[in-house]
Amino acid sequence: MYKHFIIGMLVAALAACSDDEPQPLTWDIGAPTATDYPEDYYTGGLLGTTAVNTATAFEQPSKAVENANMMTAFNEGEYLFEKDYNTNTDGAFHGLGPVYVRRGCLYCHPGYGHGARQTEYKADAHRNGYLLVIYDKTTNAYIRSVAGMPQTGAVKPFKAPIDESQIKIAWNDYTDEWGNKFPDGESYSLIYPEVTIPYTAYYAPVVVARGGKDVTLSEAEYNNEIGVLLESTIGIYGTGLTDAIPDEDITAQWESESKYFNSIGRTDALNPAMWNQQTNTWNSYYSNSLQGDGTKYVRRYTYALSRGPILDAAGANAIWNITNVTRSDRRYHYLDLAGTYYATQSSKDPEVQAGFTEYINRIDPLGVHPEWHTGNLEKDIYTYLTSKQLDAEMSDAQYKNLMIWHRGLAVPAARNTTTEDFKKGKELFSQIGCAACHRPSWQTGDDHIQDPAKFFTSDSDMPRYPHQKIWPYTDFVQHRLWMKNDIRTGWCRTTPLWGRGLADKCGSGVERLHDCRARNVLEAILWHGCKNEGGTSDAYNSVVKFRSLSKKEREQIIYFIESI
Amino acid sequence: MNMKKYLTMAIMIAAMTFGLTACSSDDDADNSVVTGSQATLDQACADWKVARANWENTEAFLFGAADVYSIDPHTDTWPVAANDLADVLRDEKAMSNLDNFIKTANSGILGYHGLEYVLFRQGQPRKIDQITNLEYNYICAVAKDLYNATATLEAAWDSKESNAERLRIAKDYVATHLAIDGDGNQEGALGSFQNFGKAFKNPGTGDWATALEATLEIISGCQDIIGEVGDSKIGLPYTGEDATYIESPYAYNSITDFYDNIVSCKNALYGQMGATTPNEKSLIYFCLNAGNATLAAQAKTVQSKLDNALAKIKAMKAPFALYYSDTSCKAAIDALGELDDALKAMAETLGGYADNATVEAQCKVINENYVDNVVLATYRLLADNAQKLYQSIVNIKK
Repeated sequence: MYKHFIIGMLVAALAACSDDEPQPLTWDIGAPTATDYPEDYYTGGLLGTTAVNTATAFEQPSKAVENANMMTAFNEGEYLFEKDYNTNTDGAFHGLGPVYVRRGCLYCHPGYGHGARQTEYKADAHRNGYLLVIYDKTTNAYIRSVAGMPQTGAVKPFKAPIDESQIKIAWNDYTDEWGNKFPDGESYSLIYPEVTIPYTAYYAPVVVARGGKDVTLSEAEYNNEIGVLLESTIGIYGTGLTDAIPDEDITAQWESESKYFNSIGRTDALNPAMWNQQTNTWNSYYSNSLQGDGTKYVRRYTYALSRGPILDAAGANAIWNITNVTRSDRRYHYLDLAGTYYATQSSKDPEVQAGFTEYINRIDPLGVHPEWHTGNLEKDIYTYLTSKQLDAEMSDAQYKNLMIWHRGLAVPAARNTTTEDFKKGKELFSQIGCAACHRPSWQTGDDHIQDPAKFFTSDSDMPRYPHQKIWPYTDFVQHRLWMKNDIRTGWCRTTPLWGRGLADKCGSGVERLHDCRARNVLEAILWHGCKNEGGTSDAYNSVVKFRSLSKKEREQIIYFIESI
Repeated sequence: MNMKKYLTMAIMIAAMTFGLTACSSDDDADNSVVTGSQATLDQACADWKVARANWENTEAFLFGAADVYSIDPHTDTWPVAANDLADVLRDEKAMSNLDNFIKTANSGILGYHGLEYVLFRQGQPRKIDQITNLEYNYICAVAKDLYNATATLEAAWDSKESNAERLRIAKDYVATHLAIDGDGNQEGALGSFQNFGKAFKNPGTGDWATALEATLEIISGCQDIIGEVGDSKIGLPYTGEDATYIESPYAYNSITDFYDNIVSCKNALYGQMGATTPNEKSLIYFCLNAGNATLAAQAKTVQSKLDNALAKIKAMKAPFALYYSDTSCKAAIDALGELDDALKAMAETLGGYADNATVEAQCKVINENYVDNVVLATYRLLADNAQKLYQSIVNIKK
């Protein structure tokens, strides 16, 4: 409790005064404790860690941003991330549509972090970080007649490619091989999502690719052959630091795991779409031949490892394809995968035709694009939707600032690093094998800027993180957990764990795993222990060991994970 | 001002002037105007400014309910999505079921700026004979929704749950917003009502493990809005990064907004609304008198930088929508940057007392006072005035 010092009691001059007026409160708190933090406190290294662990912990600029004198750019980038885009034809944040996945970024990245579990799919629901994954179960490929990230929003007179009111998300109970019970009697529950989209919810016919040809499915075929899954967003902070890890070090990690798996006879342990375990070499690199020159880069981002360097990765794509806000190097709309089905359906739709003239006059009031105003509505609509010459709605300067912000986000420092529970949890985390895939630390390289889209070319364009020891807790390799209703293809990049313990405070989803099925860390760990759903999880043995720990030890591991 | 800025400004003014033209001239729309007096419209505009100032006074504590229940974007998204608003006004289905429509509507047509867009032009109330019946019906529903949102904020920070009616509104708001279907039927809402006031006062029961952690949140909340005002709200138009990023352009309310945002910080740090000196249970008072010279000096710096920032904002040339590149803006940006630095330094020092029982105990006192006398008091006034605004908007029509 604070001390209430009575100052001047012995001073005659003040005595009279103290009879009538309360004395000011004072305390004696001494000097602050000088904490000598361990290196894993600095999750993002010295250049990429923020000591802020409040509700804005995921939103902080790194020291690299300040050092590069890029705070103004960072703040504009932050605005572009935080605000909704609108259907205005000029002014701030204009350019939404004609169809969109979300109006802005925060819907999916609440508090800049992970999406939250949903029981329905609504594009306008804040914290709904889900993308619909609609795929052909016979090939595992996305269907062709909607976008890879399907849209459920549309600007009038256009119609949503999928009517979201018909989407159902059911959460089913799951019982693991141990009956959802630890040996010491503590029980737990597990749930997983089952998503259904009826045939009637699709605006255009459902089309898949089979044998090199597009095939339109009947309702019966659709019901039997098409799967729907959910994939949630993860946090954005720290992705700039991930970008600073040298390609060769990520390759070395794959090589090392490949050799290990080969040595124990598991020659199919790594995704053959990515890596050749026989030759210990990549089967696939990331490259961009549309905007860039096709240079090959090591893959490092997204569950599906669909992306290489950050400047042409998920964020660079999302600011265009989630909102359909065009920019100078993407002067076309993100529509269905084939690029024709939505446009064809819209062009023949009498209701769309009825509203198109007003719409296009608003978009192009001066008739700069006469091909959209010929009076042949079907042709005009198709030409507009499939145009590759749309006006850029986001300026190059804005896009650059967005990417400075993206690359400039710091990672919150680890919490509780000096406590005994943290230390013990850390020890157990390694001891039971979690750290094999959730690799604790990496060293960044020289961090020269790489952009497959060739939009950014100079090191001076971006905040940089050379030679930092960082703690993302991932190997950036894909593994399989073999869960019920698993992620499409079954292969999932090990998700970074840094910062996740602050999700609740930051207003992000606290749920974990790709579809938010784990409502807490404990459930996330236990979902790593499946072996009855078509295969044995790569983390199965770790879960077996976790189960054998005492309750206190289990809690220490969870405490550690929540603290990093 | 260069040619590009002139052009941008001209476009903005044109947009402000002709705002709803597309809607009003539409053949299908009901263009009948309300029967009412200019005085009632002027009163609604005056009440909008009061409730707006109250809202800006909350921006130093946007964490908690405002964030988790998405009330901040729901009530304060800008710019207005004018085309969408025009579409709604002629959408018979939406207009006949407005209360439910608004619960799930695009934030860009709601809240303060949705109201501002209908009520104001070029800093002045519109003419009463320009307000259509459709617009009237629409702003009544938006104002009611705004009141419900503010009542939710009040109830979510009222640790004693002292207002049963606002608690009822809050529980309904959390259960139904963004979780109803087109007919108003409740769908699977996941959110449940939480009392952030209780959690903030009682370390370990919510998001704040210790009282010190919660106290640091007070500073962080201030820094968040100080950064936004300095670097973005003023900074982006001033630096020419983007002149279209001007909030409240129709009411010419920008500078007042900025000022009220920083008043929000002063209230948070000084421990009460309208504070001129720190009260004994405030964060600044504690830092000044805690017996550590560094902390005391840092708190003093915060005080002087706070007053300087407020003075510099007040001295900005108005209206900001027209004078965003004036040198007075730069002075405000610099002053806000210095304030942010001062708070950062104070937070870093305070953060070093994680294991100090005296600090922990006094932080609990600070937090309790902050919840009751700053956050709750501000939200209560906000809700009262949002309720008044709703009523005065209803009163526009005779």
